[in-house]
Amino acid sequence: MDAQSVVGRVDKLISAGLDGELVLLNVERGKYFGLDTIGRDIWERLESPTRIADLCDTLARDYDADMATILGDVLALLGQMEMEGLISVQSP
Amino acid sequence: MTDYRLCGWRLSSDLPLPELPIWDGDQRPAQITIAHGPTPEPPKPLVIDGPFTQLSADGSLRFSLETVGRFLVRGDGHITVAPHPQASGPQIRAALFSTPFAALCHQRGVLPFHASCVVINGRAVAITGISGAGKSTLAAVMARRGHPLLAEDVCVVDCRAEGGPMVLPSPGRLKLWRDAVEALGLTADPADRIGGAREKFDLARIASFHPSALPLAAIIHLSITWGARDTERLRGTELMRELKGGIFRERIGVGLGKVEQMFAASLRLAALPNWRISRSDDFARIHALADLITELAERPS
Repeated sequence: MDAQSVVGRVDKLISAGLDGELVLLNVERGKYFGLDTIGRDIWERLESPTRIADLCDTLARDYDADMATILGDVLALLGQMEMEGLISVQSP
Repeated sequence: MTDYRLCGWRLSSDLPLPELPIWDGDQRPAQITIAHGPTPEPPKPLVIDGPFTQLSADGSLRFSLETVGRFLVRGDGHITVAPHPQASGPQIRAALFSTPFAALCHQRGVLPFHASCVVINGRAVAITGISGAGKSTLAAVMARRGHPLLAEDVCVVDCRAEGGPMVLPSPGRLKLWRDAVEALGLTADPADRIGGAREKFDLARIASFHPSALPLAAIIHLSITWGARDTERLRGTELMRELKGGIFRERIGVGLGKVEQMFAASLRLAALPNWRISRSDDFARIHALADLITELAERPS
């Protein structure tokens, strides 16, 4: 996975807000994953498949942060999400 | 045939079920029947095919324990039992109220939760935790203090009720290991023995059982620690994981296609105060633990 990869949510998920977190359940794996406020914001931006570089551009703008930090944090989070089976990743 | 009340349902049974109150409700037809009869393997395809449990895609389940008997639970609430000739009544009923009972609950859209449930000042408090954490022993201590029980081992919750989750009254039993019976200062009477090689006893005689459904007020999650005792409020994803771990025979619910219902039910439970108590593995402190639970039940959410 890198800045040019396109990521999107997988289909078999249910989710709900609880105590300020977004709780995601991967139905096939039967496992929960929780997202805090920023994670939830990123998740909401993945409603349709998105190129990671584009995602980071808008995040850097909205959070007024530098691109390198954002890219590093986003890749770490997306890596975890991929491992948990929450997103699919297509690399060019 | 005798008609009993189980979780508010009318149950008509060939098999004597002394743990259940006799049906005293309206003239509705039985919603669940239990009869002796053949217990063939459920039709293929099977969504669970284990050594004890087979679940068919049509929603019927067979549960087999070699020395106890076989149970076939159909999706429409009809249960067929083929007991082993040497099995005792308590053994057969202990098996019936395990996996077959869980299947009935999942089929009927109520949540079987692995917990004891005690009544504290008119409010139901569920006590959950891994096997061996002390759910039943605590229930026994609470019962001796005069608190009625609503459930032991499997606490059935109707999370669809409008006013919040309701605990439905479960079979009146109180299963304890011999060491717990003796540590409570009671006698391990052979007449209470559930049977088999396991030294487990049903001490239902020391408890009173609340006869009707009550709103669930709080859930206590017990865990054992070697360190200091600690109490914390569980929230968010961590709480949802704990609740998921507490669903009794969850994989049967999954096999029956109830994942979304169980998720919705868990969210309703998560809206209640959920407390984790880490307790030391020290029997002498169980009374302090009972005090703490009584206090938490009163604490406003």
